[in-house]
Amino acid sequence: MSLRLLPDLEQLLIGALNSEVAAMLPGEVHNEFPRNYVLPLAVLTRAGGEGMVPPWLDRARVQVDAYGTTWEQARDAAALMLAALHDLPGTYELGIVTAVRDENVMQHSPDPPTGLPRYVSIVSVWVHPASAGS
Amino acid sequence: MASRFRPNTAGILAFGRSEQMATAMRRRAEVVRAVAESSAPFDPEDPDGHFRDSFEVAVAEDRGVAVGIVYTTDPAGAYIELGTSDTPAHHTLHNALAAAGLRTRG
Repeated sequence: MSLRLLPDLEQLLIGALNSEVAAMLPGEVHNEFPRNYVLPLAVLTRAGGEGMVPPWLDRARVQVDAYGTTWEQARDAAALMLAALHDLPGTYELGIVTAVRDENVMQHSPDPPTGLPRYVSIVSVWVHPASAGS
Repeated sequence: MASRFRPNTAGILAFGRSEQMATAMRRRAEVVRAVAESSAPFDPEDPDGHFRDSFEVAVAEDRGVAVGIVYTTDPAGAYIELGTSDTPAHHTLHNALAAAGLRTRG
């Protein structure tokens, strides 16, 4: 018997987004807030979701926090991330992104520990393995 | 013979803001609040009060129809829900909505 696993969604998205926005987001996209950081940056985490057709089609709720030195920079980083996310559907080594939908985007949410401006966006992402055998 | 259906838009809107609809929305919001209370993080020694006990329910009108609202009165609620740079997001209300078969409006 062989088991088919859903793709590592965070790894897939962070890798694809960093390829897409490298020239425009000096601080890059991370899975957690980095100890030593350059701004603007983004932190992407999975915030739940559901297997639509387990174990094949996965719908994940994804939170993207965009940080900047100013509110304008954080807003621009958030807009950049949303544009890049909506451009993602396609085939990747780790899986296939079929759709991205806004859930609650560009929420003004300052970050108390760092005092940095931050915008929070939540999107749904649909993804499935690259092939029936992967 | 083909027949044509013409929805009564005014009637649909009137039903959407009726007392019965408001009652139905409040019931659904109460379900979401119960789920949120059962799953919220709880620190019995928190001197600032408890996030778990901070949820309120209301009914309002949005775009002409009744809607149920569940919200927190905890000043730290947004940071518990969405996290910070050093604390993971808990998504208490989002997950309560999902558990009730509902979703946030995008």
